Amino acid sequence: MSTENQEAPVDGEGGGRRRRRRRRRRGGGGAAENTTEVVTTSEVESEEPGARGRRQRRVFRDEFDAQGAALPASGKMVVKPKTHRQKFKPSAGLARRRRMSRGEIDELAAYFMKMPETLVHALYRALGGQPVRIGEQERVVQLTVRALAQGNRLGGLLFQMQPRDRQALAVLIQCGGLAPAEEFHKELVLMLGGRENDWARTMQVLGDRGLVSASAPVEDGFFYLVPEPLIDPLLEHLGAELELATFQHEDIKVVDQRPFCPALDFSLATLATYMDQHPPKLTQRQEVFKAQKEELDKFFAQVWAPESEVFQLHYDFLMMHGMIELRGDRLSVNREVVEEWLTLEPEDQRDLVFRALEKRMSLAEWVLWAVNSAKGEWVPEAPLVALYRRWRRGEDWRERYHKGLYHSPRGGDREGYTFSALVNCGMLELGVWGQQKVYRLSPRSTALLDPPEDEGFSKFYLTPNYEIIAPAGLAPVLLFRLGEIAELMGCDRANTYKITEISIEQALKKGWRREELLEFLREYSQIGLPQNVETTLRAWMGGDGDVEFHELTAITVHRAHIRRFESMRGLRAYVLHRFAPGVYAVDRRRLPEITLALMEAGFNPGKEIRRYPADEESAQNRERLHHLLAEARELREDPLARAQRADTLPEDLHPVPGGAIAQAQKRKEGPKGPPRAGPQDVRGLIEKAIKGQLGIEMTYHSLKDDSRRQLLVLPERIALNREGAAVLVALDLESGTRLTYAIAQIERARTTDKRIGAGA
Amino acid sequence: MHVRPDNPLIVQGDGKVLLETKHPKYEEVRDFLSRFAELETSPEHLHTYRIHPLTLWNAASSGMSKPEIVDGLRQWSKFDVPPDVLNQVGETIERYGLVKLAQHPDDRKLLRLEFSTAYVAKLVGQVKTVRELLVEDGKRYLAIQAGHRGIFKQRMLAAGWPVEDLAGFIEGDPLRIVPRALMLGNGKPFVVRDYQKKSAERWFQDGRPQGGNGVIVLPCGAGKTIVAIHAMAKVGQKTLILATNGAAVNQWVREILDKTELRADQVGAYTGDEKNIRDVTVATYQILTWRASKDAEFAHLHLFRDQNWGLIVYDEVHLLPAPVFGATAELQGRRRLGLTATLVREDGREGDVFSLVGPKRFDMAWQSLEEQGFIAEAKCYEVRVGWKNGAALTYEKAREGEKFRLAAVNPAKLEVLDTLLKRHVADNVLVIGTYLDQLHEIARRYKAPLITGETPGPQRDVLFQKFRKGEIKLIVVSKVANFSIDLPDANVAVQVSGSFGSRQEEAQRLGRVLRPKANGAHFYSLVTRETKEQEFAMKRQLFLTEQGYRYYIQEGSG
Repeated sequence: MSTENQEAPVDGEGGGRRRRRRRRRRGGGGAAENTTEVVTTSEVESEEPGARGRRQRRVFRDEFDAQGAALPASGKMVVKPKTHRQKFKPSAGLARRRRMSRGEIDELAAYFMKMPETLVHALYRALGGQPVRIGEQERVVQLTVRALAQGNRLGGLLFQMQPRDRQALAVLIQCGGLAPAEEFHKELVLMLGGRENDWARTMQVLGDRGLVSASAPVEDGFFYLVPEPLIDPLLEHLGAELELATFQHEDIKVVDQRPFCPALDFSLATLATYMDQHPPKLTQRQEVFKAQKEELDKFFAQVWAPESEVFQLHYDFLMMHGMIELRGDRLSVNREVVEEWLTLEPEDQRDLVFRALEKRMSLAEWVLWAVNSAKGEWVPEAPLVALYRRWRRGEDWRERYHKGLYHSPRGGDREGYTFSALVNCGMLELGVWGQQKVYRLSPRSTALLDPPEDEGFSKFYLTPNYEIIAPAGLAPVLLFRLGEIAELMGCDRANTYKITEISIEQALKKGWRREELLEFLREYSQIGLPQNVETTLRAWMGGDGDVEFHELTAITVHRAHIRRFESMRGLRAYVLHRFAPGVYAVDRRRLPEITLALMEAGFNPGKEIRRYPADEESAQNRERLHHLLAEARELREDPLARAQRADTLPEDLHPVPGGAIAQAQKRKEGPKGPPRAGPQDVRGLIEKAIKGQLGIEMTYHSLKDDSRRQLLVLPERIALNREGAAVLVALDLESGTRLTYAIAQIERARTTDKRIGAGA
Repeated sequence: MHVRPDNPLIVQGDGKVLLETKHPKYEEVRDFLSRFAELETSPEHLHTYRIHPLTLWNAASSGMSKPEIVDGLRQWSKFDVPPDVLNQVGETIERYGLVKLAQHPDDRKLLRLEFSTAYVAKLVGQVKTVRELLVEDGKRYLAIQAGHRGIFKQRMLAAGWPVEDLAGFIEGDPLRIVPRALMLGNGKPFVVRDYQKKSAERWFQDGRPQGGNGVIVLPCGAGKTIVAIHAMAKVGQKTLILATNGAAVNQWVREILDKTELRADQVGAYTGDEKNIRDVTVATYQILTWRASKDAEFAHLHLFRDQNWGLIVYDEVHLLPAPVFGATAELQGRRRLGLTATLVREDGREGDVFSLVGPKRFDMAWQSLEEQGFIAEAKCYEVRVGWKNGAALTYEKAREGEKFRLAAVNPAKLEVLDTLLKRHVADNVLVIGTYLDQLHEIARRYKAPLITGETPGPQRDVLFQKFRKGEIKLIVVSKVANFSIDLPDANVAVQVSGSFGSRQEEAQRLGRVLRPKANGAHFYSLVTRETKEQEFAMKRQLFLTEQGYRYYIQEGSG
């Protein structure tokens, strides 16, 4: 991984830093447009509130406008389809800066204050100042900063310089603003011709002007260094030198062009859906079974060719980010992770893609940005390779500089680089014109780097014949959710889905609820939800989900703050479910994070978590209270009435003994035997009797003569007869003989109250 | 990839074209598409067309060029048109006309083949199924027997070589057919609608060899008979018309006499009851395919040869029976016009119909006509009925093969039928069913006449006449009413039982109520809930919604 990647931001300032990094690298790529782009961290940070949101690739409608918004099963918020996509690349959205902020000026001044006086003086002199006439160093620094802040002063300086000087400076910046002198001279000779001595002199000229300095020499070797704060202003004025050569000819033949090259998020979401619906089985070598792979390739024939690296890129991306994983011998989709990725900030989504590309080719992201700077034109291979080589060398030099290795460990051979990794995975298009190889961004990469502002598709078509047509350009999260409720039938410019009884059943298993599903279709279908479809879906779904239990952490917001809470995108991201205005479910594991976010947003979250029931003791107390209440209620009743009610429970009423009714009933009932019991109960009873040495009174159904006998036995053990049936071995107390009784034939049984000894 | 979301088309990589019907340019784009693509489904808001070789060759035969198609697709598509599709269009269209069929200058029994290059001739010669039909025509040419014209074209098409047939048609005996200014029956002016004229003209193509055969697809009630009369007038020769049954034959005869100046002695019916061969003869498919025994010859196929017919009209061409295919293949020298409301053949032989009768010349979505008021605005209802009196248990215990019938004749449907008939007491209602016992019971219950296959033709005519006059408000009909029963005033149809999800049957039954009327048409299907019948009803629902009808599902209660 490159040094830049190791610097990946983790805090809130990361975005700004990351953008600046990109701009520089792009500057290294050499784009004319860079001449208008100057940005600093503080500038990014000082954007007006909400600017970040506006820059997002998709701006969704306010999610909370409608009462009782339906939410998906995954627990993620429903993301409205994009209505607007704003162009955003690392520095494109930022205009030429006219003046530095106070913070920037202070930062620059602090840097110059630490620089050797002579270097600052040289720079100030080159910018048209006269340091000798100024006494205090602090004042010189102040004026130098001011001169730099006036962009035209630096522009003027560069304009007056020799083209060779500007070229050398540009190359040095492309190498990361740092290069070992000797090797850098060779690089310049390689690139631009001339002799090393001449280039050494050129670098001295640049040094005299304060634009380039050197590290402390070690064994006659030293590094050229461009002072860090100068890089941004220099980039602004070295556009022509940094620009990549382009090439255009109508006979350029595109190699292996696919008929359809959609944005990655579209194809990734579609592939995830496909894998969710047709989980591929893997071989022991962790490859998709051939037959299934062929089917998959056939399905995605519009997007990639069989055995293509494009599929592999998709697959690796899903795998490395945990969107799919192996469960048993099949791949399984982690829907929540996919949804999470699809709802990430576009720039974050892109970073993950770049991370996957980085595995295929070092500095892949920067190659794409460099080619992107050609604005759709072809970039010949040679200058692109040269640029790439400088980047790679720059990485190497930086590492050596920090390790103090001032002399090259390798020979002077030029490294060979190829971009086939990016071509094969469909990010770059390779064109051939005669022997000349040229590159340009594929539509897939273009969509990644320069997402169109608005693709105009916010809804899908749900037709009365249960088909859903979802054009590419629809928010991929919608595509993915469609895949949860309908069968994916085809992947093309417009994906086709079919709602079936099975797909709805699957959707319910995935956690969709009836009303939520209907609401989703109703809301995102261009033509609403046709009556026949709705009725059929209701019939298919039945009453499933009418009553549900939830285990969650809920947050409540005072009604005065609901609107503010719901309008804050940063907070909405934490909301897993909205039950009603002001009542939301959140992830309990993220409570500290949520508390912090709430406080940052100006809310005052309660310090304690309200529990239902509150603590255990309170619950017990409450229960005790209820007991007391019951007692109190009992006491409240008229004692006579209570006595009567207790005495006259219907199940306790019997005929008066000796009366005609009682006698008739006695005759009818016959002798009262033990209660009825099933084989399991009988077995349990026997075990209990054996353990307690109790007798068993039972009604035994003899199959021999179909008679029922009342017996009193002393059980000894449970055994199996010849047929394998369980039998009771017991002593018949009446006859004194040991007999076996099939347990299945014991109809009634109870233990006798008294213990009976073995000799009884 | 360029995206133009405001355009109305999405062209998919497999040649499927999706068209937004609510787009302001819908009609323009529809007319453009219909010339080279086939309308597959037309649910509300989004129609699906399919580009395939046959449709492209039809387009080429009507003079459409590759740039015209490609530019149009590019102009209207939301996304870049898939290169595969563009290649397919180019390659397919370029194939048309590479092989031509022309009259032989010397021998009328032969038709000469003209190949664009020797290489094409060589390639065609390599097609095994075609090679056996080829005849040496001197040293330089190849020819086929004139009688093999149909089969040759059919096989060539299957092999991917569309033949441009320039051999022309045998002229039949002339017959002056003049449309009446005022209709005979009601004295009102006889007006041929624009789409009827247009369809007849597309078929006829000013008498050029490229025209004169083919199929016109129009929904029931759109006036296919009038299209045929218009076509007959254009051809002006003796005509043989083939229809599905006796009632349909009578209807044809009535219509021809009503709308043309032909006399009754010039128009004859050739059916089981009467066998009149006149200048315009209307026969049934059944009589043509009748034979005394399984091994005997078809006794009436001679009808095709009895007269020097200049035009043969196939009504409900999708029902063309297999034996007539053979006869039709031999009639490629005659002008042929096929009429149908639905392209669907349950046996999947649509391709044979088109290659023998001719390509589709005109097609119009049902709802386009509905919007223009030419056919009634139809609403379809699926009324789901539960079981009563323990019938559910009987159903569950029944054998699988029995279940569908049990569900279809569910007695609880009668209570729902009561409700529906009360609701439509002022309307003219057809109750249509498949199971005769059930129909007899319904007829008894409502004291309504029942028409089945056993009802004699004259009796049927009488009943239909009474129904037209409003003397009868309710008729119970069996499957015989599926085709060609002209009941102009029926505006409600209640289907109490149907075949196993037959799409063709559903379309035809719905067609019974499609003739325009003030209050629209209602088509009810009674279906027993959660049974096999409901499963099959789902198929029919899909078909009707694909045709663009509004489909509502209701819970029925007595």
